[in-house]
Amino acid sequence: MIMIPNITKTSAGSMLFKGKIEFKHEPWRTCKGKLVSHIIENEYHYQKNKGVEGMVITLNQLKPGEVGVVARVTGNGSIKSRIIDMGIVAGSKIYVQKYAPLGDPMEIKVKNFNLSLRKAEAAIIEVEVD
Amino acid sequence: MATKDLTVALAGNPNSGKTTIFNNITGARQHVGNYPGVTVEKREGYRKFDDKEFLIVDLPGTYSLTAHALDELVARNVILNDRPDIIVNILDASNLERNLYLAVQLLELERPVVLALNMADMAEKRGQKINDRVLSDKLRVAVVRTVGNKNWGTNDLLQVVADTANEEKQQVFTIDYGPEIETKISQVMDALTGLTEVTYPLRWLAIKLLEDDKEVTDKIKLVSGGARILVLAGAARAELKSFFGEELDLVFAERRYYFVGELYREVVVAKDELAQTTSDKFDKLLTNRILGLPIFLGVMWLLFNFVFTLGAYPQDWLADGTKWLGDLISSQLADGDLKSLLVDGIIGGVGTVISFLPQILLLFLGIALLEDTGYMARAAFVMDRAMRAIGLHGKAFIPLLLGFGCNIPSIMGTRTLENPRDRMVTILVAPLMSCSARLPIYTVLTAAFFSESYAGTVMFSLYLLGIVLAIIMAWIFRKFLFPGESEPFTMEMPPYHLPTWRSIVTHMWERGGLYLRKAGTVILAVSILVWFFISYPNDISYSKNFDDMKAVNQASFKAQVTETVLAPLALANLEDNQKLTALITGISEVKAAADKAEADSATAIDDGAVTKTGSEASGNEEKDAGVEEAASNDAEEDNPQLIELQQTNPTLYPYAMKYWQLEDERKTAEDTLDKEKAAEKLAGSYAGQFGHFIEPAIRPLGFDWKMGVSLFAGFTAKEVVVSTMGTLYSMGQVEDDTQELQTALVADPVFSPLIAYVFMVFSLIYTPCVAAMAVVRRETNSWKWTGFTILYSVALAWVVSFGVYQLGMLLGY
Repeated sequence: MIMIPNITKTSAGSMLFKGKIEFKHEPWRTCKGKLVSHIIENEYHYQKNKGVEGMVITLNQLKPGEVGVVARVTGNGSIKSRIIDMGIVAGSKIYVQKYAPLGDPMEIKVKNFNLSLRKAEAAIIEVEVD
Repeated sequence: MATKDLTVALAGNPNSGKTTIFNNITGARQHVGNYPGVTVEKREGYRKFDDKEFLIVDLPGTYSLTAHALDELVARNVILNDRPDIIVNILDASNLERNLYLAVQLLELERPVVLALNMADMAEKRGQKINDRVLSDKLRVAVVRTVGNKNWGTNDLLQVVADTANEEKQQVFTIDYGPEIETKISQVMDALTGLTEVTYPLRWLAIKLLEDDKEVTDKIKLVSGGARILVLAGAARAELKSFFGEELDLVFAERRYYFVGELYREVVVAKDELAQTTSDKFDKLLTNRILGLPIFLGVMWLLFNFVFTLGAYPQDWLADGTKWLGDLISSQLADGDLKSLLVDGIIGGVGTVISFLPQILLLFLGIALLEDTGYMARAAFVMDRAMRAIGLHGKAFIPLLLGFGCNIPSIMGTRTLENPRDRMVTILVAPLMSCSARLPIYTVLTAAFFSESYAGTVMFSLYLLGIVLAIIMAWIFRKFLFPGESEPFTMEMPPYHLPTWRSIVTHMWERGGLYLRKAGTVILAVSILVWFFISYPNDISYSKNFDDMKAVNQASFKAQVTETVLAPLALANLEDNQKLTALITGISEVKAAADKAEADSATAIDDGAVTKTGSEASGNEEKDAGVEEAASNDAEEDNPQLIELQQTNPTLYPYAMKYWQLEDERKTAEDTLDKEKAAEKLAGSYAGQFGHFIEPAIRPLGFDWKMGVSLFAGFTAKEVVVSTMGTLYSMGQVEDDTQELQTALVADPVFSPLIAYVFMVFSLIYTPCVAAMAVVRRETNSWKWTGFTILYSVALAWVVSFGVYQLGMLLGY
């Protein structure tokens, strides 16, 4: 069990810290003529279900058949940009399909499609497992 | 040239079916080129609809519109700079969430958008029900359902596009990024309003500046007043970054995805987003931990056989056809330079290239099949680990493998590698894959100098050497010439699907046509050039006076005929006796047929026999060839057809036979003289002079000037090496499987098994054919790298050949 000792503020304004989850959310304000966004359900679930049991590891540490929810994507540069563009952002659910015959790369399923990525690339994705 | 009334840009994810829809709309009225200065394909086409001309631009498939990838930059610049009237965003319905991520970015560019919901039928089969109405309402754009590979919905789409163009401006779409960010966006927008030179949408610019988008930043820098804005944006960024604890581009991306996720849940009644599909079930087998590799190798084996075994048939037909054409023209024209140019230069040179077309097409057909079914991605997935160990990318495997057939599609195939570094290394290393045009060189030399039991090993060692060198050079290039970040392997694995014939054939023709045009034009030019170098100067001083000798030969023939045939029969001319001429014709036909039969069976004779005849022939003069033939003729006196002829006219038969023998001797002697003359002419030509000139450079490899000339000629096409050697060794035109050349090679004291092997090694490594070089130029967009390829491959060839030669000498060969 790995707990995050610090206070981390996620991008939706929620806070989580040791042992307890506290969050506050601000429904984004409605403005005339603009479209309304709400707090995403995903985020809610992710916060709610995290509990004390949640472990945060990197994607390449998951085994085939396991599911993880993205906590955050670290690093910077074009690899990170590419990963985010594919929809791997905080709250996304990832299912590990398999690893290649030679051990690398790995294939995952996210948002209804399959993606392959090298273990080194997957290492920058931090996921929550139950 | 039709004037366009409406410009429509097609945008969408890779694998969304965009290009299929593009083809549906434009059909044959399309052309492919490059965007200026970059190797990004530009595809445009025309369509007439409702009395209006539509110009359709197929933008590169992209997942996003950041400045991190060239494709994405090109796509967004087309939209911002060229300002197409309508953007059609093709959405893959099975993948809607990710596809919508691009959609909202397109909407933020503030051009009119129409959404095409493609392949919704498949999605619904998988249990996803999509509500077009809600999607349309939420995004305030029209949504049209299409099924690209059945060509459904195309007209509806065009109609909606036409209607949308007629409408008034759409409402500007915005995503609410939250109060903190929105404040900053407004601030930057206010600052931007002051700039007059800026024509891009202000909100979009503001967002990009906050994201620290490189291209936008560079552009704003150049605008007057821009520096101030950059400072403002920088401050805003810093503030927001400390608030969120993240880089802003990540925050923006997340918010967009949150918006899109929300939208998706309202639009689609979905099954579990992580459900296993039919495609996954296939993959259980095809990328299986244990079976994945063997299956992959099996598929490669199939591909190769498909291309080369199957392709050999049409190749032979084309080769025969080319020869026939050559003979036809040969018989029509008088001897001379024009005829030589046409037959030897053009038809000879271009003909061989054309003869490869069937294999090239089959190759492209195979690749198109692998790509369109989706297997290509799996191949890269399986091979990546191995490739990376040697400094290459997984996606490089298939292009390199193709190189064993022909380097041209191999180099063209490197387009799948987006990272320029990976791509360059692959292109530089591709020529080391021993292409099939070099095979004739190996065949002839191996057959001549190595016994059959070793032949296989020798050939295999050559191919292996190529692979080993490729691995070494790839590692060296990657480390020293192109160090840096490798292309991420983050790659979508599209679901398997059954491709349409149309798409496969289109892909095949596209690439095959490119090969034809490139190879055709360049090879034509160079063939003529080489022909010139081989044929001139014309006025060589010969060692013997060949023309006189031929005249003497002719005269002696006439004298002998008169003496032995005409006089005894009291004839003034041969034609006076019809029966005699008929008999002679009969005899020549029988002899010709017998000779052909013997030649056909001779090519099947094993090498042991060849080397034997070779050693017998060495040291003999050409007269003995005539003696040998006479000897075999005597043996054929038992030929039943000849006996038949004899019985029709026993008295005349001996004279007819004598005439035929004399005629045969005359022809042989004349042929030999002709070939000697040709050999000397070649020796004295510019090419020959060049060969002598470079001889010192290749002497350390054990080569002589004849080999130098052949290798030089091989620059146009590797097949030419063998035919040039044939000419040089006085054989006239040779097929690569004739024994005569092999005999002559063995007879030449310069050659030995070791030298032959070194020669083959050199042919393996040095510059590939000029058509391949032309393709390198096109793919790298740089003369510098093309030149480098030429130089490094010759240098490497020399060094390795030298090494092999010296090593061989040391080992006592």
